[in-house]
Amino acid sequence: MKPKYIRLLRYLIYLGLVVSGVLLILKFTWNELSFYKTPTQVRKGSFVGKSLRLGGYVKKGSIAKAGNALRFVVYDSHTEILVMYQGPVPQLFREGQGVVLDGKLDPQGAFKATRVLAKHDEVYTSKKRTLEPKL
Amino acid sequence: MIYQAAEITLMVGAVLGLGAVRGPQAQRLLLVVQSYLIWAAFGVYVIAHIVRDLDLLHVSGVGAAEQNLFFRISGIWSDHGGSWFLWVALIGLLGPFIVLRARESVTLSRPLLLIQAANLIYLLALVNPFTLNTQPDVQGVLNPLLHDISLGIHPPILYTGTLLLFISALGLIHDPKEEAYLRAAKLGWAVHTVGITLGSIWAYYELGWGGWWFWDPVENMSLLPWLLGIFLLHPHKKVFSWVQTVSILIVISVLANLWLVRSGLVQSVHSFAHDAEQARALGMTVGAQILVALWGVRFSEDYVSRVAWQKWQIRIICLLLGVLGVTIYGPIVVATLYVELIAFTPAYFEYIVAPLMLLTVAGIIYFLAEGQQAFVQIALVGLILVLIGFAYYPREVVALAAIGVGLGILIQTLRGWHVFDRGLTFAHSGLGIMTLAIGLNAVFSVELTKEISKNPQQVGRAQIQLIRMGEAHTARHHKRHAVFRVTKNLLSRTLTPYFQLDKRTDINVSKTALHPYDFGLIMVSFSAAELHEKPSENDTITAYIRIDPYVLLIWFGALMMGVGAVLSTWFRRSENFV
Repeated sequence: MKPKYIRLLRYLIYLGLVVSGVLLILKFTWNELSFYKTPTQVRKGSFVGKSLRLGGYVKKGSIAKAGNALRFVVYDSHTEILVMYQGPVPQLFREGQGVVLDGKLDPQGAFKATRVLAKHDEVYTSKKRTLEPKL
Repeated sequence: MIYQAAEITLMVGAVLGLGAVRGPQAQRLLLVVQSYLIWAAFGVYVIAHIVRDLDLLHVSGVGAAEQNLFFRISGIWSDHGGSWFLWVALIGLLGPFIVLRARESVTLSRPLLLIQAANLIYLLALVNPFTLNTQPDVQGVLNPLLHDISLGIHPPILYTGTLLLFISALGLIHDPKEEAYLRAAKLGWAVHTVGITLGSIWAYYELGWGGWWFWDPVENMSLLPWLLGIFLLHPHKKVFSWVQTVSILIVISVLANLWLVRSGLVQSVHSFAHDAEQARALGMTVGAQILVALWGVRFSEDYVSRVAWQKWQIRIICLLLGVLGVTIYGPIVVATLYVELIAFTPAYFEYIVAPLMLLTVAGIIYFLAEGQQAFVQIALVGLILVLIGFAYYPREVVALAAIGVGLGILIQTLRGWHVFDRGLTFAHSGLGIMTLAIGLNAVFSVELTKEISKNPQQVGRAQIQLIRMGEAHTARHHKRHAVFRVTKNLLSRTLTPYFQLDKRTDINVSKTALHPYDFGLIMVSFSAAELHEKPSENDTITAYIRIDPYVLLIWFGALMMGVGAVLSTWFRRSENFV
């Protein structure tokens, strides 16, 4: 092969690498972005199987054990949603308090949380705007 | 009285910043005097915490009820104001240290004087450490989540490392030929590495902080100065403008991180709650510092484009670093602008940022290996295979790539790259071990929630058995614990994880218990399902178990890197330096 073609080939390979890299980044960025929703929004839309961040309040008296998971209800002004959470003990978690959960909606309509967001402020309450769900 | 005096001392320190208009000798003297003043005030502050003088608002806020001296001192930096004071005091210690080491360079005192003045003005105006307590009967406590021995170790060491790196970068911006700055930067990088590792260990055993690395925004931000610092460890021969460019980026990234962490804009386990006014004031302080740092910078004649830029490897590494910067800071910016709309999950970092980091490391290795043609071809073929596999099995492929890069580093190091320099061999072996262990751990780590009963059960290759459970009520705590027997690595021990509700602050503190597992750890703790379960109802407990079979190697490798960098700082012939 002439050096000219070798060089051309090399540039094509680079171009291919860059393009595939960008496509991959887009693909994963899109899938792994998780959108913040309230229970009402979750009920209205179709979010089964998508990564979500759910914000709301923990309903009083709803906390129970279900097999290996912790079961509770998160609500906002209009809707309630059942949450199942498996994992370590969350640090800020109390009946009636606001919570932010990462997870996915399963086909039965329950929210499978993989993470209860915790933080350690110097002020120990969840006063910050992201922890305060929009009602 | 003494607190007012300390306050005035700090004010005088701030005013001394005006000395920046005088000549170099005067600046150096003023910097030392300023540092003495800051340390006098900081001394008063520390003693107030030691003797628990409740007249001081900060003492009554964080350590009023604290009996233990260690936690009374650690409490100083457990919140925004106190940790800012520590930051200023450490600049006051490390600044003169570096300035006096670099006898031939006169350019560092001026920016340092001004930066300290800006820091002190912010300190006095917005988070005055010497505010007196007007309600002596209201007493706070140290945040129970921070009530840990790591609070006394991780922040000061990390600050020391970051600041050594920051101050020497500040010096290198204006005087890239000064060897003492490069030396201090190396030392700073080493201490920064140790600081990050300690943070990783703390986050690992503190449940809910998400394992040895959680892609917390602040964790990510601490990586940027660290990655940039690598270029100061490998200064390109005689291309001083390159050193300057890197130093500018380090200074900007450290200050930007300072602002992002403390303004409360970033959601993180490290964030401090703050109002918008504080964030604005902090932004101005930090902006002023960036201006001061860059004021009057003159690039060395050997501008990068002339020599180094010609090498396409350098271009690719720069491109990768740029992309890495965007992928790390991007989510922070997006999350700040659309705080309630979008969140980036750890998967984003595992599948995008981690591969980019590996590519960058691989690029740097290739560049330093002085380009062997066979290497390029193998690497290209490998890269294409990786990209194809990545689309289908991202986690496994990233892990395999880490294993490959780690092995590559180890092999190259052991082949005798740096036989003449033990420090470098040590540091590079550490990097290899760490990267390898990260890959292996990603493949073999397990996380599960499981019912554990009084019969021995197999979890992974370990045996776990519940011995008994218990409960204790005190005025302050409601505590539950469970005793497990864990057998692994020829070792059988009882582990006692517990969780307790702190009644004053309403925080669940869950302490895990760890046992060796291969080259890593197995963690046993209560799971969330136990939150509302009465003990003693039955003989099982739902445990949250995490197995990371290589996590100890990760930390070991990281510490090796730090130690290696220190060794090569002190035991290296100076003619090899630049």
